[in-house]
Amino acid sequence: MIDRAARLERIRVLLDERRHPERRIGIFSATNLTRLVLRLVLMGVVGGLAQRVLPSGPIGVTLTALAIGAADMAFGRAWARVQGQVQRGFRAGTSVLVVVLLLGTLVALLGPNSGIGRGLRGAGSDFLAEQNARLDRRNRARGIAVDPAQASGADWQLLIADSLLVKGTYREAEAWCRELGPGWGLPGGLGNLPTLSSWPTLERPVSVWAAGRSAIQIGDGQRPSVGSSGGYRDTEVKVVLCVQGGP
Amino acid sequence: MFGLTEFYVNEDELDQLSDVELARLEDRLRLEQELDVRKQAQLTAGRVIVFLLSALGIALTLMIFARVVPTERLGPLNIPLYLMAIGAGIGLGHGVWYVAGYAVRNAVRWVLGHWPVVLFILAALARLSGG
Repeated sequence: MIDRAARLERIRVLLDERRHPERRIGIFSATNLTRLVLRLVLMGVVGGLAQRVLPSGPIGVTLTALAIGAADMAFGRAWARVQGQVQRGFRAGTSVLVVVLLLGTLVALLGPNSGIGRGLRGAGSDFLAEQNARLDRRNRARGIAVDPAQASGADWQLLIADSLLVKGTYREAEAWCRELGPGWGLPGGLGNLPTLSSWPTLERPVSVWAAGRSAIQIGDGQRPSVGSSGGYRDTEVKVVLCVQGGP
Repeated sequence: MFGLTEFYVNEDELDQLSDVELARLEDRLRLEQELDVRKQAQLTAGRVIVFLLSALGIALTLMIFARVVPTERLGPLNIPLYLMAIGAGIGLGHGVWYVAGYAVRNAVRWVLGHWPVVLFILAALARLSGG
């Protein structure tokens, strides 16, 4: 009798979907995904409890399977009662979300100097700056090992600490090189490279600060031919190469 | 498709149908959804099977073409041949599901509808047989 009533209900739903295909629940719809998650969670909980209580072996496995199956069927019946409400709830929620997004877009487009627009942009740029600073901190902590004998030449010096190349911001690099003594400073950039007795040879190429907030790539023992003209953040860190007679 | 579009049900008369007639009606309505490619897609167990059968049908048709059609006509640019294979494969997949019969369709729907339980049973069986 229960089966007949349930079948009648299923047929009525099928007939309704036949008349209104747009009411069908798509595979990737929020309603279907909610159903899937709840169903799996319930079966997982029931299965876990059953395995904990029941003995291991074929009998335990069979009873666990039965418990999971029973939970699945019970969930199916309960869900059939609330599915309509869940679908309507998600539909309403989606509408609210769309309205909020539209309003946000309007504010951003029509009022670029409004308080909300400035606040949104400020929050975005703050987040970006925070993420960049985090990456820079991580980069600073990541050491590059170097043989101390290869860290200096007649007229140049790579700053090291405990056989690791020291990394710093541009301002720090400038100050550290000045501290080495009169005549010491950062090397010039690609168009203004100093003439050194030799260039550093490292296990892999590294980017070092150069005058004017630019950078050059060293490490192959050759005069640098790769570099960047600038555009770095204040918190950005690089390996520090100091040269005598630098700019 | 498959003579289902003219199917008509009067909802008020449902209570007067026997259990067997209701089961057949439910199967027919489900089959109609599974085979109807015009309406909004909805993943049901039957539709998954129709999809897999269609893929199998396409592969089978291509294999037959590869044996029957002369090699020089099997180049990558023989678009009509591939379109024909896809059409025939999809038709074959839908046709097989249509003629599979009520019992087979219901059994497959039940097994796929309870796929987490079936997966658990299969995993448990594999574990038990593996010692």
